[in-house]
Amino acid sequence: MNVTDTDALVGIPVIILALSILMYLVAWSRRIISRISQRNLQSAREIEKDLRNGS
Amino acid sequence: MARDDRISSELSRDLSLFQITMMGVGMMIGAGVFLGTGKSIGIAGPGGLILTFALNGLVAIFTAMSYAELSSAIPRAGGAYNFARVAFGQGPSFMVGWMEWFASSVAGSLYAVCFATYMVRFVTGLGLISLGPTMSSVTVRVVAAAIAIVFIYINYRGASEMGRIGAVITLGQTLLLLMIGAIGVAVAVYDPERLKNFHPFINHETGGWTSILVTMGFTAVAFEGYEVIAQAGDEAIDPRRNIPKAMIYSVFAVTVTYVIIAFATVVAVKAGPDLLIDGEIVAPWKWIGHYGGEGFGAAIEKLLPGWGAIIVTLAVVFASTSALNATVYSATRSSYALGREAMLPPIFARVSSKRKTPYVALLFTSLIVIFVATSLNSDQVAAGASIMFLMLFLVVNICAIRIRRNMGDELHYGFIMPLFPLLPVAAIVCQCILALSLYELGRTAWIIAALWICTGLLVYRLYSRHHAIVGEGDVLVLEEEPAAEDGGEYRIMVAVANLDNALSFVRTTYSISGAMKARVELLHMVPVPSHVPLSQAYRYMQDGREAIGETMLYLAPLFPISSTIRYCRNVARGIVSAVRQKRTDLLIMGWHGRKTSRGFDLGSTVDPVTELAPCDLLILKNCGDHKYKNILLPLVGGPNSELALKTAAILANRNDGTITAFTVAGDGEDLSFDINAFIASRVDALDLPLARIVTKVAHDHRTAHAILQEAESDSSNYDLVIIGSSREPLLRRVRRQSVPDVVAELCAKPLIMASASSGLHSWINRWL
Repeated sequence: MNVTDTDALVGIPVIILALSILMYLVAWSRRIISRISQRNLQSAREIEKDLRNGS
Repeated sequence: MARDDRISSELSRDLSLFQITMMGVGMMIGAGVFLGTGKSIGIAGPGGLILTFALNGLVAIFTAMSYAELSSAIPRAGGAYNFARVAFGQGPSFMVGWMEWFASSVAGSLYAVCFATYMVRFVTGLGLISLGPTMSSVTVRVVAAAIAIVFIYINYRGASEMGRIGAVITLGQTLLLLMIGAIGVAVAVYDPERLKNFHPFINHETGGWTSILVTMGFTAVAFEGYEVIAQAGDEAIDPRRNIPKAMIYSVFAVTVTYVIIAFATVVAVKAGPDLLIDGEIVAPWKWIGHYGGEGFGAAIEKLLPGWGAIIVTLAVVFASTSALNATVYSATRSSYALGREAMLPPIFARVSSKRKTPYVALLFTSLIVIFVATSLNSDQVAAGASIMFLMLFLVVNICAIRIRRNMGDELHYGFIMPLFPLLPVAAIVCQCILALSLYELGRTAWIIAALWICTGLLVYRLYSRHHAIVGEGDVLVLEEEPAAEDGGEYRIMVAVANLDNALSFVRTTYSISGAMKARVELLHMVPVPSHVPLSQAYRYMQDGREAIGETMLYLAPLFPISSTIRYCRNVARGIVSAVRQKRTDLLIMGWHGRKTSRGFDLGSTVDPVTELAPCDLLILKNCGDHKYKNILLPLVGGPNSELALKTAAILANRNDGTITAFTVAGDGEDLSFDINAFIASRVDALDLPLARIVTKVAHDHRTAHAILQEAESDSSNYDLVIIGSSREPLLRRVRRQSVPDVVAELCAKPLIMASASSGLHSWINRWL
């Protein structure tokens, strides 16, 4: 296995991981925005507490 | 002289989620991706190109999360300027707005020049006109000015008009790029040989993996669209929901588009003998990289012979004009926000009654855009703008941390980021690395950035600080009485909340102050409702002045004492601000013992103060003016227990007071905490003989229950409970409510919660 094969073996998972994290954060954000709106939460403390207790 | 009259101006609220998302996408897919693709592949290699865009997308979404959270809580035109205003006050916020205005204006002029360059090349390429080098340069600048004027007029027509036209243009350019990407993917499917173009994956001739940092640095500017979305706070429909969504969606859409485009660019060129550089056959990625900024166009012309030049020109035209549209909009709102707060002359805040657009701010922005587009060296000025954008993003990430920590209980959030504060910290680290990589752009960029910042400092010093409106969130000292000079070094602040029992409350603290030979400061916060202007705050302080005066008369002969009465919108924030400012060592405050606000463990004032005060803290519940004879002291070790022990030793009656040090082990478990050793190692520092401290161990798996049972037992007859607080927010995340909080809430006896400051936590609280 030469250095460029190793680069690809590391690089491709890094690309997939970066895009997966991106997608996860987008999905999480959509969910949290709807949740805050539906439950009429206001302060950051209220939202954090709701996430801890009700997720 | 501070002014507190309000400038009344209003923008029309008619930008939909789709329109503001497209504004963000439009600002991102500007000239950056077209110029950056060819340069990046040459430096980082074909795999490095895709890594550049994927990793930049990740860094961008970290910052976008901060922007989204702040924009949902502070949805007003001004973007980063507003965030800095809330987080740090006038001076820093002016500089942020000033840099934001310049960076966006210059970026706009660059897009105008980019548009003009490609149009002139395309027309001359068709053979319709023939221009010499000088005439070509002049024509580019004339066309740049013309297209800038067109989009300035569109911005003047109003947000709706601008949003609709901008959204259509952006949609067109995105579809065009996705079409190119789809053709690239299809070509790779039908001709898998082209996947060999990814060999080598990284270019090791220019530094290997570290070269990706350089390419990320100069393509970072292609991910800055959330700034323009933040500017739409006054004009977006349902901004608390739509602005965060638009920011997150736009970063995601753009990153995916860039990755697909990067893939298409790599596979667009088939390896073969026609790929020559200096007579030598080279790999496709080297051939593309050889063309630098025009590499993307050269690759697409290979992919689509004949049509490639037209498609690339169309894509650049769409991209440049939508980015120009968005940057003019963003720059105008920055200067409008400065005018609205009287940081710049109020004329900047004038809004057209017919179009509902800030026409004066737009006029001044236009002057910068046209001047730069027609007269300056665009490359270097653009580099300066990039440096300022990175600084802005860095500041916004710091603002996100500071505002959530200090004002999270006051603001109305429509979105909060996950993994706080890890994401903004990660973004700050990445931005510092990218800023270092921008040093490659040369000294001139740094000189331009420094010149603009110096000019801003001058404007602030000569104009803004004398005229700026006092913000609603600013803490204001209403009255301050200085302490005598002969006090000790140790500083105790006593926060007096309830004026009816101010005197008795302060009396209970003076034995602590006396034992520590401390300088004492009384603090009374005057909470003024948000709808009452600052100029009326004095009406709320009359009672406070009398109570503080009475208490001062009592304490002044005993200790060096000073007093402060402060106005604040939020009492907890006011107390923490005073503690930071006065460098207090110990804060003493009272607690009525009831939970009154949802979401809080102990109360809306006690909880934030416990978490944020950068000093030792004693919270007194129902403590009268007593000599305590029998003190219960639940201990678990650590700094809080140490402070609790020290306080108990001070408060115990000199003649016959005793302390019962108490700890709880689980049923049938051995005690992991050696309570006797803990006390023995500290007794020398206490003004109480060891014989007056007895230890007691209970076995119960319900710790809070065991403490409460001991506290209420008739046989022991405790007259005070002192317990170490749990001030760690992380601990509270793990447990629903901490043991000290449960005991504090349910214990009927007088109680003191002790919370000691500790190294890093205290340092962070003092400075952030």
